[in-house]
Amino acid sequence: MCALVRVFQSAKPDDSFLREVEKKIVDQFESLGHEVEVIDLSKLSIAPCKGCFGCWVLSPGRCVIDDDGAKLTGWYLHADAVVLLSRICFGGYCFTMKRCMDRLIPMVLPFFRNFQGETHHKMRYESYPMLLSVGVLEADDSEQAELFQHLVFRNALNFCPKKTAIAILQENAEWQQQLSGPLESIGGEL
Amino acid sequence: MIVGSPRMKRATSFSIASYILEGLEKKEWKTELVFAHKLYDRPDELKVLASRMADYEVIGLSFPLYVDGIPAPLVELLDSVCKYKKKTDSANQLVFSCINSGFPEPYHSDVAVKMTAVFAKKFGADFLGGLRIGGGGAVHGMPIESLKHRSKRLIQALDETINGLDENRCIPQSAFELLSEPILSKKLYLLAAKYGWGFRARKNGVKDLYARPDE
Repeated sequence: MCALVRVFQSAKPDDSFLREVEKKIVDQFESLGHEVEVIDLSKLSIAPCKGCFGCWVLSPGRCVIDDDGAKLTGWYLHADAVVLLSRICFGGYCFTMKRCMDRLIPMVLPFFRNFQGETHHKMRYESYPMLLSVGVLEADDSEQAELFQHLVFRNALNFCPKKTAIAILQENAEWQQQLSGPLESIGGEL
Repeated sequence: MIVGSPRMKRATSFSIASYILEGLEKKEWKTELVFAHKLYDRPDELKVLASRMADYEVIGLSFPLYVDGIPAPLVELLDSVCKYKKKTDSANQLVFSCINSGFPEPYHSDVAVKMTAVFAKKFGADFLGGLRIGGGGAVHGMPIESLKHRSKRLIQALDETINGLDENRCIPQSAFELLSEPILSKKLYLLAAKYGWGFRARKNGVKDLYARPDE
């Protein structure tokens, strides 16, 4: 079955390593017969979230800012699987990717639900795509790697992807190996 | 204090930051407040900020929890000041964070606290800890002084933070413990949230908060 995979790429124009990782991801999913689309975030006009709650109480499910950021939720939700490709910054996503993530808040409801004793947002939609988060570290940093994994896990509790996989890469000879397991984990479910 | 909320002076993050700064000013500290969102995408101004930060012994970050982490413009600011900080700049600096979350449970901010600790390390400063304010929606951008009937614990925690910074350059464990529970009763907070959003939507003439425009 052909699935749609959207790769949200946060690489700066001169980041050749992230472009190389993007190519590997695209090639892998295409070799499985899936359609892959790359959303190059650095080429889009995405203002930071205004914190106005308009996406909850003015135009529910839709961001009020009229720019490319308002299209992010549609691109995200209409995919079967989403790949977030980002350098890791302070254990989280880089600024460009975080700006995108902040604009995905319309995907959830303002109302709360209790999940395993914790308060989380209720889901606006019936289901959400599978998620592969790929974080790239500049150097070996177990603290940031662990924090990034924890972050993706916490995000999944609110965004409820059908399945979550995480790959943490470094710019070394093993990066393709580090990526292959998570890629197969999502590719095998599509 | 660096405020990381897009709502700036209307923000709970600003209420908390300005309360702390006013408390320190009364103890004759020199203080400054910066809004991260005013410096968004302004590398020259971020460079100037980075050099100014060398003048401060203590740097505080006050921001709302955004998707379990730090709001994007504040990520940019923190990343930039790390890059622009010169090796000759002040050592022995201290960093702390105050994170207010719309969720009632404070532990939702744990990842964000650790992120600010990673920033402190990269910046070359010691990390004093992160105050996690669960149920931050109860502050709603109001002056902290006006909350004495709503959350004495928050006021006490901030007062202890101010005193701790002034006397010992640390945040006492008691301040963190005061914020180990939501600042308002969880039951009350969830009830207010449940009806509050509907009220706000109706004021805007919105009937269907459950709309699915991307279906």
